[in-house]
Amino acid sequence: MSRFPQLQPFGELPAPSGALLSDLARILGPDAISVSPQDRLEASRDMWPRAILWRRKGLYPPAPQAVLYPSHAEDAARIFRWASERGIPVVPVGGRSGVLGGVVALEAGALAVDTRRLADLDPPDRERMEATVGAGVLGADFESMLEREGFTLGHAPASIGGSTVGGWIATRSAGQNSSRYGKIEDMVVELECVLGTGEIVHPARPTPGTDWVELFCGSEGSLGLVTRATFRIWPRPAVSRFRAWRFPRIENALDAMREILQSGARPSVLRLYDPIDTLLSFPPWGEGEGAPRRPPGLRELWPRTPRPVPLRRLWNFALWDPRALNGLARLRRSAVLVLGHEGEAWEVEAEARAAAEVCARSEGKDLGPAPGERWMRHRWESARHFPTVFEMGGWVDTLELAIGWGGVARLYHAVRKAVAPHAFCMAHFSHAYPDGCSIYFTFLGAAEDPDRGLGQHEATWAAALAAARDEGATLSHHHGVGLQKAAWLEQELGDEGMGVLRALRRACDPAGILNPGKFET
Amino acid sequence: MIEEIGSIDEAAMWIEIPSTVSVWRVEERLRTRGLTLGPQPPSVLRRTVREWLEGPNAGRWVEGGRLACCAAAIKVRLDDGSVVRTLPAPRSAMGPSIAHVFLGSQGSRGEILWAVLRAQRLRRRSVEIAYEGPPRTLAAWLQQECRRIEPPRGAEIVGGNPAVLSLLFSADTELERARATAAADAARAFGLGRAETPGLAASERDWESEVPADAWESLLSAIPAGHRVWLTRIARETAVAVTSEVTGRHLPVMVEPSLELEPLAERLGQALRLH
Repeated sequence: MSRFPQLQPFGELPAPSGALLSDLARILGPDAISVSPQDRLEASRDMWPRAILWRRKGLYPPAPQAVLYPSHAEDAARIFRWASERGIPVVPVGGRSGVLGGVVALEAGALAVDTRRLADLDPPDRERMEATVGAGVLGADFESMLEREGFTLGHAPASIGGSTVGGWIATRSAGQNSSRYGKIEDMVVELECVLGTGEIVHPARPTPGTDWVELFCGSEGSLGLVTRATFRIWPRPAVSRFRAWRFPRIENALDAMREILQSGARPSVLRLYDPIDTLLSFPPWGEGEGAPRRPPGLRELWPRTPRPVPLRRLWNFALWDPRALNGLARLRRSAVLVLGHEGEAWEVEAEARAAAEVCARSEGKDLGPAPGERWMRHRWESARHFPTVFEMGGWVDTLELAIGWGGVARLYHAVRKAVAPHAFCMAHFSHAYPDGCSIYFTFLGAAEDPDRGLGQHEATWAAALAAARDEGATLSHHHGVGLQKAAWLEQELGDEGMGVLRALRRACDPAGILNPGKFET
Repeated sequence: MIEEIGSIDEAAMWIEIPSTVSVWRVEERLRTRGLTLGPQPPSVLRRTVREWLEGPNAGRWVEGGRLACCAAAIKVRLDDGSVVRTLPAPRSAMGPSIAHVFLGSQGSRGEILWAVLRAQRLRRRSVEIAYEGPPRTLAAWLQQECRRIEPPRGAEIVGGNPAVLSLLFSADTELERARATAAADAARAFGLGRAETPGLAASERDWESEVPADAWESLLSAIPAGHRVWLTRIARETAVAVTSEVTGRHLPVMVEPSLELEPLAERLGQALRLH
């Protein structure tokens, strides 16, 4: 039911026309254009698992005619005006760490606009406690600069090493400290944005009336290209402290999370692992102050290198029908919650004491600081293991939903039940707010036969999103929409909401050149 | 006609309401359940939910020290009679937040019919600390206290040199009480002197102005000696100053809307009419 790109077998890419290249060279200068096959292929994809499975079949989404590298907003404005006059599609591309095909063009003939030369990275404004940064700067470079200056943005997504600031804004990204600092849309003070018309605008907060920042955040390059952003920043915390708790059931832990946040506390980490994730990451024999196991990593689910063929076959066999593996959840019901507190000493101590009281009231058993400290040291690891899963002939994908507190447990069980016949499923709850929470599901399937794997992948998504819709959840918390969820957008917004989105696009990009096909069913 | 306030989702602290209900009635209803919309300027409480959400305040409240929108979802009737309804969620990344096409739009893009508003727990106890000193130093202290995750819930300023600044904190929890103590420590570190809290003053509060944080020093300096100004809905970036008409004449109006986005707003209005 999703709208997917016209796939092409791997082969020589058609050369762009000389007229197009000379026009672009006149607009941008020859150094800001690449027609190399490697650059064009790289710009045509992100980390979308479905596209990785297509590649296993030797099929690729359409590559752009050329990759353009604007250095400032005026470059992008000239490109957009020129492309609008000719009706040439333009697809913005950043770090390509998205997982939903947001940068994948539906048809051949597009131009890719790579943001990585929008690389302003000036020291922060200490007086205002704000930092302005180019959209093409890698998240890790931005945070490192802030760290050197004694600040933090408070945004630490798992993709921080490969995602750009512009990509964060385009998808409404969330980081591991979102419970304290919010999501990226909560952090923006001002954007510099080039509309499809070539106008350069600067939506800012606070301003009376319409908050245009809310409209450009999450627009995935379909309303305009964000070229620069100003964020509120925070002093680096003086103190941080972790504590983990084991709860007899997931519902006890969710009650504790809600109570902590509604009391006004803002822990920097509030991360609950479901029973399967807990079983793999915090086994009962590893509890205690000094002997926690490492945090969740898909290595736990997959044979280590060297990977013997029989073992690989066994795993793939098990994953073709994952109901037995999903039954692991019945072996143990307990769930581990990792809490992190940061700030000044007085607030860390008071907050940790208050949170401990709440956890104890919800039947939590104190595991001490070690599991959380270890999580902190290894927190970037799980995403690094995703390629291994594909190398082993499997597939892995993730889905992030959100819902008010009253529906969180029900949503969790409904999605698990719906997905159980199609994929091995585990989850954690890592972005929590006073009114609700996100659930981050990880799905694992077999794909030694790519066609069967693609079918299993499609069935998993359809089952999961239908269950989430029926429970009243929003179908994306921080990955965005891309192509993978595009068909489900109408389910969430309705026909009238889609009309509003189309009107917004017409206002910002009357020629319809920006990332066409996105936000359409 | 009495409009019925809909259900309250106590787990999520969401209240569902028709937009014709007054904000004050919503607040009254929430308080019966131990909830509140949080500190709001008097003009907001006098308005209907629709006027609040469509007006320049755009349904704003303070959450985690940040100025945010308290509408978790809205239902809007467009010019052609069709109805757009957004989904209540703590946060979402299903594209741009289309609710913001209508919030703060003065009704020019559609009529908000219904909303799900976020609430927060009503605080039962509070503590007030007051310090005096030069307006400039008091403004620096205020700014520092608003750059924490939880800013003060309210402030009162008595003009003069020295001026007096009194900050109001919730005190229901140990964390909140520690927060107030830290603010007092910071005031002493600024070299400010302890003062008596100004106490209740009979005054009309019919003048309001949004004041960005970088103008707080100007605000404190402009208040005539002995005159009082209250700050409410205090966030890191902005607060609403409230005072009497008489005192307000001495104070500058600080926030001007940007005109840069007017052409885009115009095109959006046209595109919606063609919808």
